[in-house]
Amino acid sequence: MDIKQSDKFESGYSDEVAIEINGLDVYYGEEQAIQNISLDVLRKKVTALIGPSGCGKSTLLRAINRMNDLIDGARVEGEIKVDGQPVYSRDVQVSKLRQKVGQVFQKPNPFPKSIYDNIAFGPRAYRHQLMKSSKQLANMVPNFFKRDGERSPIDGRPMDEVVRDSLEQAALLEEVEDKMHESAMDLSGGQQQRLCIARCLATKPEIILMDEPTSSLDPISAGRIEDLIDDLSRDYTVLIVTHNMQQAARISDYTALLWLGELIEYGETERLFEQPDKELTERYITGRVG
Amino acid sequence: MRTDFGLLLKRFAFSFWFILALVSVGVIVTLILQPESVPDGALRTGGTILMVAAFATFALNFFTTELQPQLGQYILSLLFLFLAGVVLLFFPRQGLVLPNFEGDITPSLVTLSLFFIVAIGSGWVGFLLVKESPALNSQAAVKYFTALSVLVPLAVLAFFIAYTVSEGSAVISWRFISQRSDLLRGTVGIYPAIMGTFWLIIGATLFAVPIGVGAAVFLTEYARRKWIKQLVGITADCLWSTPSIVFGLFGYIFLVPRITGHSTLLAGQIILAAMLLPLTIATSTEALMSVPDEFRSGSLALGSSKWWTIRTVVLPSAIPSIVTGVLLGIGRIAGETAPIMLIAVMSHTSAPNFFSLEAPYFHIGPLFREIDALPYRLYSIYKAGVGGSIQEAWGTAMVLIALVLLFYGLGITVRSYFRRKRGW
Repeated sequence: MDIKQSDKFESGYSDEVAIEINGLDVYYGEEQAIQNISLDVLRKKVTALIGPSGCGKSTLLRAINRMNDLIDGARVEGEIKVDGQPVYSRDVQVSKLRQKVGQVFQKPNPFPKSIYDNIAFGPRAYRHQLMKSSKQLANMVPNFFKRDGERSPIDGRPMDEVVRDSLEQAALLEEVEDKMHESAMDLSGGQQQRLCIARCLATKPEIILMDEPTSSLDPISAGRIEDLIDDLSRDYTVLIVTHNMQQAARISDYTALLWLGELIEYGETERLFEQPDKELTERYITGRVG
Repeated sequence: MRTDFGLLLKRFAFSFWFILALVSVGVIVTLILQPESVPDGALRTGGTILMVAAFATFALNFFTTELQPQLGQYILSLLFLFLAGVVLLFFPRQGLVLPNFEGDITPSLVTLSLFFIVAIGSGWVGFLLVKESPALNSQAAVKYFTALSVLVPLAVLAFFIAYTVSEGSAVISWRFISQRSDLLRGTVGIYPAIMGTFWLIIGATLFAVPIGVGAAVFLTEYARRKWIKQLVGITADCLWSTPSIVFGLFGYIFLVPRITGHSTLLAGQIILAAMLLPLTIATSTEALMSVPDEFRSGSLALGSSKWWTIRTVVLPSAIPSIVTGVLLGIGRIAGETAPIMLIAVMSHTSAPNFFSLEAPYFHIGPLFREIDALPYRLYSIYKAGVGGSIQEAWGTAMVLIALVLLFYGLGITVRSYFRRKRGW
């Protein structure tokens, strides 16, 4: 059964789709983690993936920015398109893809560098890629020789501005303004997670994948992240994995329920939580299974 | 169960006392068999009686059936042991005669071993006292025991350094470390040996660290098959446990004829690098593996390439541990005498001088000449009578220790710098 057909959104459809997934299968060695999933993630909306542990939510997420490539024995079949571009094709530059599709992890993972260097990491990595691939001389001149300071190679703005903007967007600027050059490891867990979000924003992504971003945080920090996700959805497409259903209900516009590697139901959050089509969905959201 | 644990400790403690007693007997027997080494009969008799008394106390303790020693016995043993130590400590220094010097090392060694016996013995007595005290439980005793295990190495190090400094500081002067020994001009100095060891270390590190770290990066970041890692691991272990003289022999037979045919600095550097390599690989691999995977995935998810990730995230996080490992290795090769004896050193050579004030300012010539090195110098002063007095050897040892400590200090600075930046 092609679930996608039954769940297609009617109006303004093609324009709004940020990620298009068609008949996706993911295998870890012999084991199939995702079975024939098709779904469309809409632009500038928050889409939540819910389901019990081990149902393939994170696998699906990692398939989109090809982080599954890093896992030995992982194999992907089917098609994923980001902005109409197939992700698993030979001529895709994985680093460009990942710059466009950022990811925030379950556990805050700032680098053991200063706050500033953490944020500037993405743009600097991008410049490194440019230096390898492009002939533009400007990109090859080290920042050291540039009179007006370091610039982000992604949008050409000064790095200081990029860093401040990203921190501002991640609602962290006020807290860290006067300790930009101190180690990011000294921040609290919630601050670290917001730093990771800011770090991801600095590369100017269009899509942000979040893999249970609040599960290691206390309720207050988690609440702040949720508020932040709400703000971010104005400018970014957010795909968030969570096994906290209240959270999914609170923050997402659309919700997909995954079960044993299959997509059970996908639709507007409100509708899905109030009148689910499938019995399994109803049982899951009312807590009678899983 | 508390009782079982306590019993175990007690048995262990008693076995220890027994061994201690055996050692004491050994010392006493030595003293009796070498009466000529102890001129003062009264002292000898006193020391012997005290040792026997101490031994008897231990034996009494050991063979007491109901493992319930009295506090008084311990205090008594401690007292005896301490007094025996004091007596032996003040023995006149005479005994074996060395090739060129009047003076002796044997009584010092006796003193040294007694120092340890007294230190460890009184530590154990203290331990048992704490254990037997009703106010403290066996938990406190364990704490005391483990604290003691920290104190002992510290004491050993302090003792070595203090002893070396006290013996060697007499000859240390600016002249001693800044000029060379010259029989014709009558100068005494170890400058060439210092520079020789310095350049040996620098060269070996320059050869070994890039290769070692490179190998570790390949093993941890790129190699997928387990057997490759195992193979390299086993190879490194084998290299590390190979006796250093074998390295020297290899250099002598294989390297030296292919470089100049005689001993050279370069051959020494290469062979010492080969000795340093396995430790560098092992510690670097360990260091890189301890870098959390979240850093790697975090970096890759931002669009950076694998090499960029390694260069900017993984390696900087691992540097403190790598530096520590390299330093341990340097500590070993700096004092290595056997391999360089065959391939690099010659007595009374001048210091390698790579730099000059005239063009071309830098020469590679010294790489292909013999050098002098501190451990070899120490050996030749002591064994072959190259220098003027035994104090010179102690002075040289002091400089060698200082040089190694200098490298350690350098490493600790680097490590703490990176650790401050890291903080995970």
